[in-house]
Amino acid sequence: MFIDGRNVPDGTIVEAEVAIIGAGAAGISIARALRNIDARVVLIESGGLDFEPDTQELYEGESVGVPYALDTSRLRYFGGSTNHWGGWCRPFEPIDFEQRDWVPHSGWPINRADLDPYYVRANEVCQIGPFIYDDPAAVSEGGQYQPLDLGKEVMTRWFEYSPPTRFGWTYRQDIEKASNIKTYLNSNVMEILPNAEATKVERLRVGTLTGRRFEVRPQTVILATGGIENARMLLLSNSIEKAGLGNGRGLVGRYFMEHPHIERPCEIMITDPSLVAPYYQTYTQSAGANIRGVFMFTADYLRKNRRLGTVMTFYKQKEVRTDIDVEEKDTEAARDIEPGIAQLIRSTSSKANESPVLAMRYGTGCATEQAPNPDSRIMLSTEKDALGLNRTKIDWRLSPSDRANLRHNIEALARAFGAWGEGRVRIRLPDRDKWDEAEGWGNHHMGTTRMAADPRKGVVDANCKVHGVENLYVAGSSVFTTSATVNPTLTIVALALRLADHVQTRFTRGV
Amino acid sequence: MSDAISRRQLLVLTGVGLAAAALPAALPLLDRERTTLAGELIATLADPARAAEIGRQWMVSTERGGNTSVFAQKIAKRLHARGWHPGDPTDVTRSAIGERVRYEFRHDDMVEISGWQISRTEAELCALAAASLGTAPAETEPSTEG
Ligand SMILES: Cc1cc2nc3c(=O)[nH]c(=O)nc-3n(C[C@H](O)[C@H](O)[C@H](O)COP(=O)(O)OP(=O)(O)OC[C@H]3O[C@@H](n4cnc5c(N)ncnc54)[C@H](O)[C@@H]3O)c2cc1C
Repeated sequence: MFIDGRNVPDGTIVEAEVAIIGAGAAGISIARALRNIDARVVLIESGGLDFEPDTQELYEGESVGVPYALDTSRLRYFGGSTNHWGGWCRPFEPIDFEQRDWVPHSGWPINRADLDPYYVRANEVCQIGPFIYDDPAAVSEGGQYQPLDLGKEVMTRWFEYSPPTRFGWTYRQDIEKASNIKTYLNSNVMEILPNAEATKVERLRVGTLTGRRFEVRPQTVILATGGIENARMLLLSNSIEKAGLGNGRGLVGRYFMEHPHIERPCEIMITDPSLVAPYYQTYTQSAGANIRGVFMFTADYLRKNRRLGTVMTFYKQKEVRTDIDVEEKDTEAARDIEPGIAQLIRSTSSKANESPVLAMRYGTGCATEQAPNPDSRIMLSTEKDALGLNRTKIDWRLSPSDRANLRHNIEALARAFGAWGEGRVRIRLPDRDKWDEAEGWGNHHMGTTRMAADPRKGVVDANCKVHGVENLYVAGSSVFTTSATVNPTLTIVALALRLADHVQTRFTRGV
Repeated sequence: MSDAISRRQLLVLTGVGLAAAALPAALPLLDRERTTLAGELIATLADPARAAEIGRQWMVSTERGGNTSVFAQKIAKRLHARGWHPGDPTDVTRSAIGERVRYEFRHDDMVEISGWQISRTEAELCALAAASLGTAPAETEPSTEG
């Protein structure tokens, strides 16, 4: 049942076993998993079923570090940011969960195997098709399209695409029809109120932009308002715990991570484009899935060289020819020597070419892991939003060492192509002392309520429960301990399904 | 520069046994020229004139000197360690260079020219072409070899 919060009488108290705050990828996945169980579930969503500027405006805030767009990087209505996500999906690598002694603050309290069954289910939720991410045989179309043999440092990995699933649209009926779920639209949770000891949530204070105020009294609360807003909600819940709920150790909001994106950090020249399988160059239908091949770095390489991960995409840019008109010719020195580099590769690997087309130049894109940094953080601004709540203040920090790491990874790519024989890499990433401006980012908001077994090191435990608060859970990429390299939503959904199982088990056991 | 090789360059190329590589169909290599070390190495290049431009840029950017003899000896020494001998057929030389180049990439022995990452031997082959063509930077000894 959908209820418009703006029609709920002031002072109403809604009782429920489970309250889910936020109906995005995480909240909707959990609500669907809990549909038709023997428990009343209340799903509270800030927006309506469509975009409304006044509600979206609640997402605006202050950016004081590396400039970051708080508003356009997420959407505030039913379905959340999946109303405009791109659908790139891939599970994290096993090494992403490990404690890596060269990455301070790394190490999740769970590992990839803990998530494996949930990744398969998340793939279904995201309508992706067969789970063939790491299976070259499945995507090779009978051996026709083999991945490039790039040695021991660089590996081909495949993304699979969600259509992309608009969670609000696709799962609206499931949620609306579920007899045990009441969804309150246009309803903003303004504060999560615990008992006097701040050990248990008792009430949620809810408000609408039209001024209505009501309360939800749940036994269990799941906070699923997105990777930035989860931290803001905890910080705003400060009536009892002055520093914010679950923030006894000052960790809420810290360790904010993104995936810095760099446009064309390098170019790759390959003598013969037919050596490059179609799935590298664009979205490709294969074995019932829509896939894309990318370059990533092997766990052995990352360990041996003490590096963070990078994922690199690859697309056809231009033929390298000997007969380019002078006017057409790029004046950059690198372009002038490009045909020469192609001939150099041909001197030792391929046959010399009769035709004026010597090679193909490919452009690249990349997203890179950033090391967790406690000073990169979400705080409360002194400015207030239309509900009278402090807006978000974001201080995103990027470090020169993250950038140096990226450069080293591109050098590894250059080694790999050179050793393969038919390609060479041109690095375009300029050396810089600082990294104070992002060339791009993924709209991936991670780390602000990080997961750690030790309450001194994280906000939530391995079950995503807030340390010290017995009935408050967090869903979404804010729980990521480290950011990994690939897009987060498949992992968000996998963790959400795992959390739904956990909550359901607790109810079954009566705990 | 364009594909066409100027008369001056052709003369220089012929002098070091390069022309066969640059214009394989047009100008057969003389036995005497074939035997020069620099000529043998340069003969493996698909486009010596373009290689020379790469070599020139590398030498300028690294303020590197060197003449044909220096570069040729360096490269030959590395190939020799892989069982190659002067006088081996061009295909054998080419494949020995190819192996060496791949080895250098595997072992991170790369140089950077305008962002391009090429192997050390490739860079030295290009420098050898530049020195032979006389396009190497001024401080480099002009080649009289061949
Ligand atoms: C342009 C763009 C492209 C993207 N492409 C990809 C991609 O290709 N692959 C990928 O993996 N990820 C992608 N993402 C990221 C992806 O959209 C998010 O990871 C995902 O939507 C996060 O899910 P979530 O449920 O945690 O948060 P959201 O989907 O943002 O949902 C949070 C929900 O909480 C609600 N809410 C917020 N505050 C309150 C409150 N106080 N009370 C009640 N409700 C509240 C919001 O209205 C919203 O509906 C992209 C994001 C953007 C912006």
